[in-house]
Amino acid sequence: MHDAPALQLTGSTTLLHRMQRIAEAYMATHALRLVINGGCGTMRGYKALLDGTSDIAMASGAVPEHLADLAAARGRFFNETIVTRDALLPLVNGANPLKNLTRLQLRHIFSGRIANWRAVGGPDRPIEVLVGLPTGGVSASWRALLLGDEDTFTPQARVAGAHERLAHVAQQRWAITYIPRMALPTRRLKALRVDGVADDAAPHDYPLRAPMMLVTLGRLAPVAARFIAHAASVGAGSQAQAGHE
Amino acid sequence: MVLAGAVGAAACAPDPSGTRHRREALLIGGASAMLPLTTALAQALMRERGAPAAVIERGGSLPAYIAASRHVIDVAAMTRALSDSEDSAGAHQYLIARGRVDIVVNRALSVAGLSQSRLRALLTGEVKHWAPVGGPILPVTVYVHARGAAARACAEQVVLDGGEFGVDARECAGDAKLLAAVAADPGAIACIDASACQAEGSDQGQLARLAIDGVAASHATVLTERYPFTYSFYLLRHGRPGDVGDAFIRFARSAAGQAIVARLGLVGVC
Repeated sequence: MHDAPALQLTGSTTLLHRMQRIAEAYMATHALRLVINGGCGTMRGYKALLDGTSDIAMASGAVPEHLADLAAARGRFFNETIVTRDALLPLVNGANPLKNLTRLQLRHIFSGRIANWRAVGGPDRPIEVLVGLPTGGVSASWRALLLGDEDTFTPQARVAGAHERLAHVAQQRWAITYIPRMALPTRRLKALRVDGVADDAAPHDYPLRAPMMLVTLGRLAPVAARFIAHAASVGAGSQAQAGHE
Repeated sequence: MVLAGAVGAAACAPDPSGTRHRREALLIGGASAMLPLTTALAQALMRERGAPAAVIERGGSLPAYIAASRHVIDVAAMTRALSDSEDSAGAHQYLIARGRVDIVVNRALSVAGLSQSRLRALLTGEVKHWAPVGGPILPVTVYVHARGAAARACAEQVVLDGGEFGVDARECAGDAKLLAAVAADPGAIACIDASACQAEGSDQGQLARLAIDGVAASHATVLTERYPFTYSFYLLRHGRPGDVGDAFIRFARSAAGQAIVARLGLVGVC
């Protein structure tokens, strides 16, 4: 075990706990050391690949174009393997009376065109928008799914890490943010339905789902390929199970 | 020659034209906790590969990061990962080793694990009996290394987030005496580096290692960093590939370098 080949993984905080469990189970039956180097965010995971300081990036957002171009200029390419897809949930305080928003309403809220809950059927209160750090893959996915290339987050949005955003929304009745399902806490927070669909009731119909990936750069070592395939099969199994529930 | 001590500023400062002086020595700065490892790696690199002499300066992770980013030193030895703002385009930080602090109790104690908050309450003296944390009706005795010992500083940093043990904690001179004290006292608890725990064979049968937040201390949970009292050693360079700092880091990550990591009781990660 101590002399087995080692692979280092870093990146997405969203995937961290899942990959820790998968890695420990895999190491119990395979001669491989899987070293998970904290959750520093998807974009820093990509940087670590480019720097050569890590073997596998854990990613909750796609490779940005400028990083793909940078890698291509060095004659190398990112290889993305989806290990699961997770619902990205709009999250509000438990005391917020709203239960559902459409994608268009969410787009207008996060771009700043709608700044009062009254415009979406709520009380006459200003909306406080919280978004994640630019290094986070979930934020990149949320922005891509909701805003596309033409819109940006409202400049009024407060930028903070996931823990700070969750704590803030738990305290502030009129705040809104987003969170992946796998990181959803329960206390004093409420996930809204999107276009009338609740992610836990109909996971395959829920419209805002992001790929959670393991990403490598350049030629893949066989041990890495086998582990990534295993992680993807575990993810496929859990997705199928969720679909039947 | 490997020297642990002050680095002469003139040895590496740019000259007025902005050109760096050519240096013979590899300059490493960083956390005191990494001194044994960086020293052993530098000595081996000199012996086996004919590398230049190394000068190793203690002073902490942040000063070393700043010095490396200004190219004042070749390699920063750090005990923490970079923050978002530190992870700039030129920064290359490599994880080279891990270790862990074990929480040991007497085997007779009917406690298999603790939460981090309950453990802190015991170690700081806030809670003085085992019963409130799910144990028997027995007073808690905390055994610690002597004040000033590196092992105590490490335990306070890793387990107590830089806090201090309670004033009632009983000091022991060295790992062997600390483990013997726990083995002889049914109400004992102590923090000890896993490498020391493995090295000191005596009385191991009388000791039990606690799970923390439901996670047992093991090789696998250290590799995945799920065990909460895992610590990590990093090397950082801001230089270009191929320079003297790069050669040192490549050696640290090689099989020979990782064998030194294991010899020091740490967990190899490369």
